Amino acid sequence: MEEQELMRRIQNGDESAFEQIVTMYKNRIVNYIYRLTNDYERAVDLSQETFMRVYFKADRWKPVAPLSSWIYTIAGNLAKTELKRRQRHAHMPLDDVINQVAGGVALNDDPETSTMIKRMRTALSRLHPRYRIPIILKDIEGFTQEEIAEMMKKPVGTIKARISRGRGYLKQEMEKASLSIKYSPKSRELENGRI
Amino acid sequence: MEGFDMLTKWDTVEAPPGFERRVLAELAHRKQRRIRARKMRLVFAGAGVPVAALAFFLVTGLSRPNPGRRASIRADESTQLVSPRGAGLRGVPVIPITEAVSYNQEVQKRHRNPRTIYILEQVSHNTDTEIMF
Repeated sequence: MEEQELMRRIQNGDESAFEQIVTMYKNRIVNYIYRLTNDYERAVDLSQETFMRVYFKADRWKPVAPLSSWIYTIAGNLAKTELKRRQRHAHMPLDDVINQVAGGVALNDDPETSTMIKRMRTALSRLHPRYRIPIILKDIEGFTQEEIAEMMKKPVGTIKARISRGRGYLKQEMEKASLSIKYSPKSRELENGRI
Repeated sequence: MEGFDMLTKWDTVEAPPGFERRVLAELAHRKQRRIRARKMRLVFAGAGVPVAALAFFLVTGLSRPNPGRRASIRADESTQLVSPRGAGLRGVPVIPITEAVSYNQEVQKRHRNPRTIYILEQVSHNTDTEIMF
């Protein structure tokens, strides 16, 4: 109800209400776009553009869907446009990402887990956006499949299929990564008499 | 799902400090840009009215008489010179003239004309003699 009231005020041109919306969603949107594009500076720019569109198109929002779905939809469309503009899958090594202002959680101290996370992230960045976006929305942002279907304007069945396929691909990558770690020269060991 | 909880361990990022201020500044800038664009549209729309009027005047004022309409001139009407539309163009008298032209007579077919044949004949064996045509 609070969001509805804020949006109603934004539709009337209230900038203070708009500022509250920005404060509520800025970290989530920046984080979401960053995970899609792997570029922090670009994620900040696109987040700003997202909120511009939220303000100027506030009259298009109807309270039938949560405000978060609508904002994420705008952000996702901008991220997709950015990825198409690059004409390649975003693939940026973690070490190259300058994140001086991020106050987020550091990578796991366990080097093996950190490596796995790194590989997971690389694998996710290789996924086509049609699979990457629903996985991020589902497994990281916590949206339901119905909400994701509404945001992406696709049937729920399609979203389920895309999430399943995307997870299958990630699972393959994880299995490859775990095999490479398990059978690395340093950690090679006998299992049941077999190497 | 197994393994995918690792996605949640992914490092998260936050918006930089002053993000709201930056967004509001951009909002003010875009509002001004929209106002300027709206003004320009009004200016162009206003400028278009006299241009359209001028074009209309030129089209109607310089239009030719309807070619399908018969115009004739009589001796007793020669003093009354009016354009086919009933009013002279800026008061200048207009004399409508119709002339019947038979294109069958005007246009001659090529094969009816006798062809002219030029015969060059040597009239002198002396090559130093200049040939006069």
